Amino acid sequence: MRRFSAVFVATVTGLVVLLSFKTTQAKAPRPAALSGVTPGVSSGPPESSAPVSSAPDSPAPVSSAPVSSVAASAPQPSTAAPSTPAATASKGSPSAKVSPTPTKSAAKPSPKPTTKPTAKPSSTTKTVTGSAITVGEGRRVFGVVQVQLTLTNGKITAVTPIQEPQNDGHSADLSSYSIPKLGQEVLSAQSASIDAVSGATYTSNAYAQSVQAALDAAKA
Amino acid sequence: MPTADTSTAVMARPLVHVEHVMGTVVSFDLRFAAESQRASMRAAVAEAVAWLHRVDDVFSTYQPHSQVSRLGRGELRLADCDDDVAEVLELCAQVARESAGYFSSTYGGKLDPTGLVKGWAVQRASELLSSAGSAHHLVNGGGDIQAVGGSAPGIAWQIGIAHPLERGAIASIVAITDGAVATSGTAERGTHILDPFTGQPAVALASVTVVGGDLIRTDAYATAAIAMGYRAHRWLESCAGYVAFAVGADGFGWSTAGYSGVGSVPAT
Repeated sequence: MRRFSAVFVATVTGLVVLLSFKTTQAKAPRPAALSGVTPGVSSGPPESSAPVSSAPDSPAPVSSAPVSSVAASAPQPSTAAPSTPAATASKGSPSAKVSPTPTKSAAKPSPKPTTKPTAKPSSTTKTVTGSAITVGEGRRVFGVVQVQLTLTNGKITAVTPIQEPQNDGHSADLSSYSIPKLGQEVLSAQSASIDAVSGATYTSNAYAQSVQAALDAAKA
Repeated sequence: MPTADTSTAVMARPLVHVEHVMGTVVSFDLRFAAESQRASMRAAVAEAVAWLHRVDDVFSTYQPHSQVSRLGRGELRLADCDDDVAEVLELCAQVARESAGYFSSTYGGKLDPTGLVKGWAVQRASELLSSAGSAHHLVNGGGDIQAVGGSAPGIAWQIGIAHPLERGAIASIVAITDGAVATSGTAERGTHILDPFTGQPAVALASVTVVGGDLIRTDAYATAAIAMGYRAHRWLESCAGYVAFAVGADGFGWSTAGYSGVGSVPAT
């Protein structure tokens, strides 16, 4: 159940965060676009062709500090030289480079990343309702979730569940665990503006619950 | 690259397409200035999507009648296959050499170039879009990304790197204008990369992200690095033109000297 909760939180967090980006732009938000995500987990083809082995126990001694997520901790510039070019492509993209990323901080108040030119209203509060999303794990469908966001000057100030998964014995657990955590994660992750997510290969089912899916839905 | 005034660049609504193919999902994100370009960009995406399905038909190891499956069973000779098959197998051989044998085009003793095919196919899809006139796009094949032109003139794409141990969290953010970002690991499909020298699943690293110019090698190098485990850091430092970020199975991480992503991981 915890795993499901984490998945649920991740999915909804992505949706919510991205919706909030939309609303900070000049264009009106398009919550209806979220309906593209509805495939949920129950519809995809079975995949997982890969052999799964038991979980590893061996610790990796290579490291020097725990990695925490950008959303959860104050980000800092990497120790790398800021303008080191990441080299040229052996093929295709001669101008390939890795440019330094401006530091993004959840605490940073007004200056938005330059990637998001905004025409900010002076002081507005609005609510945005996401589309209903079917959530589940494997072949089990836990139900439908839908959230409403309150945005004040483009910042999310409240996350309210409209529908939560009901057809599972653990729904109480879900609502007590997920929603507060969701709000917390959203509030701290708002400034992590990203265009795409790179991660270990996901299956079609995993995609439906990924931040990338939320991105695709929010951009469309 | 168009030399538009970046301060006033206004882009049309993104063209986003999501395609279920090759056992995963490929997301397209095309940016362009004029709404009048949308129809031709749609056509370009359709062409790229058709290409990916063609690749799936030829290379799938899950379809018993694909050329690669039949080649693996000895029912076809390489000469009977599409030229693409020979090209991919040659690339596999090159990457195997470059990675001291840690990248392998076999899995469990059977022919399986899957570790290279996706990156290769997605890079080709991106090239198709470019040929069709797209100056700004991302193609994300199951987490492996080829990026072109930034999201607008003068604005880099911001790529979040999924935290392998915290579902939904972003471990680092890297900005690229043109290039590739690929991540391999155990997060989504269980342990699925074997150390070819021991035959055992490689478990030291939860994920490795490689950033470079071409997706073919960034993807294959990320896979090889997972197989290498503890040895990956030194090897990746030696890969000119590529930088990397990794998270160990214990949650501790490292990055190579050139890595410029934002995050909370010190280079070691």
